[in-house]
Amino acid sequence: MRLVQRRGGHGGRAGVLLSLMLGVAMLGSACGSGGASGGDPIKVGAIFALSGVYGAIGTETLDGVKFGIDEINASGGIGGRKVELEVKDYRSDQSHVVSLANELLQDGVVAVIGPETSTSAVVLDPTMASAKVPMISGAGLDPKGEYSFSVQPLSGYFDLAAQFAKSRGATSLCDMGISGASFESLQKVLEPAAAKADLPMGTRIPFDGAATSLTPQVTQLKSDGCTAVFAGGTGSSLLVIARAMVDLGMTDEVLMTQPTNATAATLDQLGPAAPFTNFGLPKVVVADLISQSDPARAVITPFATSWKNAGKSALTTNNAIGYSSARIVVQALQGGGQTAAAVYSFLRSGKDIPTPMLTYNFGKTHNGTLPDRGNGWFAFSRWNPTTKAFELTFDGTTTPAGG
Amino acid sequence: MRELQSLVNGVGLGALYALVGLAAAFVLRVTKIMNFAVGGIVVLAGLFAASSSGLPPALRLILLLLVGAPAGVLVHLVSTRWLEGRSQRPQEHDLGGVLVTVALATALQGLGYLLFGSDLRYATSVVPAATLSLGGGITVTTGTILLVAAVALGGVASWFVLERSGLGRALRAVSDDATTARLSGVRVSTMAYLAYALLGVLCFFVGDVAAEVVGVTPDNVFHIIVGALFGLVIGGGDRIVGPIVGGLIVGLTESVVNARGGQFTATVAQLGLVLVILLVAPRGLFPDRTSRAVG
Repeated sequence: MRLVQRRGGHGGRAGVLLSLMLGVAMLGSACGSGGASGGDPIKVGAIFALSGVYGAIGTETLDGVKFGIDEINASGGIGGRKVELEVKDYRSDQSHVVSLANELLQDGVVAVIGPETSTSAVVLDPTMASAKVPMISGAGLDPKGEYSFSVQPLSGYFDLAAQFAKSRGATSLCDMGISGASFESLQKVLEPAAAKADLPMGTRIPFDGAATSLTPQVTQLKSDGCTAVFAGGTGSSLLVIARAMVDLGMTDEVLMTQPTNATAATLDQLGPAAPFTNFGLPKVVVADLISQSDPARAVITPFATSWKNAGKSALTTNNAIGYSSARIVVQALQGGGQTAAAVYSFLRSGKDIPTPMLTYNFGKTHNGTLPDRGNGWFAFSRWNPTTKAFELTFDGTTTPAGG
Repeated sequence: MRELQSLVNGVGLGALYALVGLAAAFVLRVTKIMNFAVGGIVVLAGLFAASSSGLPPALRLILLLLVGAPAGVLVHLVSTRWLEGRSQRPQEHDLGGVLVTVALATALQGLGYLLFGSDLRYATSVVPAATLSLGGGITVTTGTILLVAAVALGGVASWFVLERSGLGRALRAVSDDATTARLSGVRVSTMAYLAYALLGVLCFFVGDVAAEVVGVTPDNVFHIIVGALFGLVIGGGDRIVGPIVGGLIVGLTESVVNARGGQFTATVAQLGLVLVILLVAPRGLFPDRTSRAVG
């Protein structure tokens, strides 16, 4: 018994020592392989087009994402861990998207931010669902994948567009968009919006996204008597349409377009089309123009101010989308946990996720942003090239500004 | 009204194709190579013009024309000159030359993306932009008028250089038979440099005008050269009038058909037209009379 005890005593100390050594070795091994504990950074992936057709939108969105990640890291990170952003450029070539996303997944990212367009994001739906890692994209179409989430504003914004057209005396709402799924999607959101505003739909023209001249199509709008035109597509196609309207003398009409087309480069090139081109913008972009009593002000002002104080160029919609994407991921990491599964569970939990652009709710009930996202968070503005600043043209609650 | 407006629009578009076609025809006549890099040079020059907002437009145009000559020489050094030293047989040179110009056009497009991004850009107009009413709701822009004037100017300049000057005779002599031209005392390599310098000046001029009127983006490189190539096939590259008339026909077809049936139908119509011309008049609508008499 004693012998056994003595042996047991010797054997116990050796066992404890061995266990400790093994434990330390295992801990070291775990830390070395990027485990979830300790002070290792939390990896978040970003996949954007930083060149090519979508390069301007992608670059601006990434700027916003970086601002959001830098902000959380400057405040000490999440649970003592920094957030590390791993960026991939797919160069506007959708054939690169899946392989680049797989590289991010192999590096152990807990979420992917981007891509900036529906056509690129939809390619990634199966990849992200298979890896069970959430993707927060800028897709304008409702995401189909189980692990796909979008920060793009949809229906409420178009309600505001139809109201704006009506307020300017339009008798119908005409539209142009890139042919295919994008054009069909545009009709699906414009039709109910126009109906709500008691405005019939007018001429609708799909066009080739790579077209360098849309004068024939705009000529058709002119001959059909369109006075309010909603232009889908990219910033470049907007410029082609706007310039054609100038050439055809349609400068008294109303041209509207989606928020993401207000890139710095597009605004810089509007020239004589600026006075009649109206961008639906998230209110954070025009924070200085929003009235003191606007309830959105309390949420948007801190970010708009910190962006300005950072000495960056004028805030764009894509910057705001990027920052909001980063805020969504950061809140999921803080509120859910620091793994992909925890981030996904948090996003699907039905909790409201406030950002300076919108309050999001990705729960099963809402499956997207909150239904009141349109009028409350967006305004229509036009760019003044002389002052290089926006002018508010319609905020949905007051009578429109002159012009 | 719509059809008339489409015709007016088509004149502007056709004039742009005619201008690029003139540049392509110029280098084709001198070097016997269809140089796809022309589209790249035009677009890159246009992007530089659109990015020079701090300069007065007239000064910008003069600077571009000055830079055009060395830029053209550089293109020659990178493409045709480099090949001349490496080709073993003339047949290889012809195919290789075309492929090198396609590669160069792609490289110039990439350079455009790298330096200027993918956005559409416009240059400030040398002539103040305005829209003029022709009555009945039909409008024409000063840009369209500028393009037509540029075609006339480019056409006359090309005709004078190629048909009426000693330089043109030497260029054509080198083009027809380099060995005989060399024996006759013509400096063959110097002529090639001169031809490309002139091509550079012409391309930079077209680039500036295009940036003023229709805007430029690196995405345009192949669209512009393909439209001009269609015009070159239709009009023929033997005479100055060929690419001008051909370009206008392509532009008018694109504008009128596009207004009714969309861009895809317009491209099909243009291709159909090219096919018919190749079957009926393989050397285009304006073949060289001398060649026809001999051949």
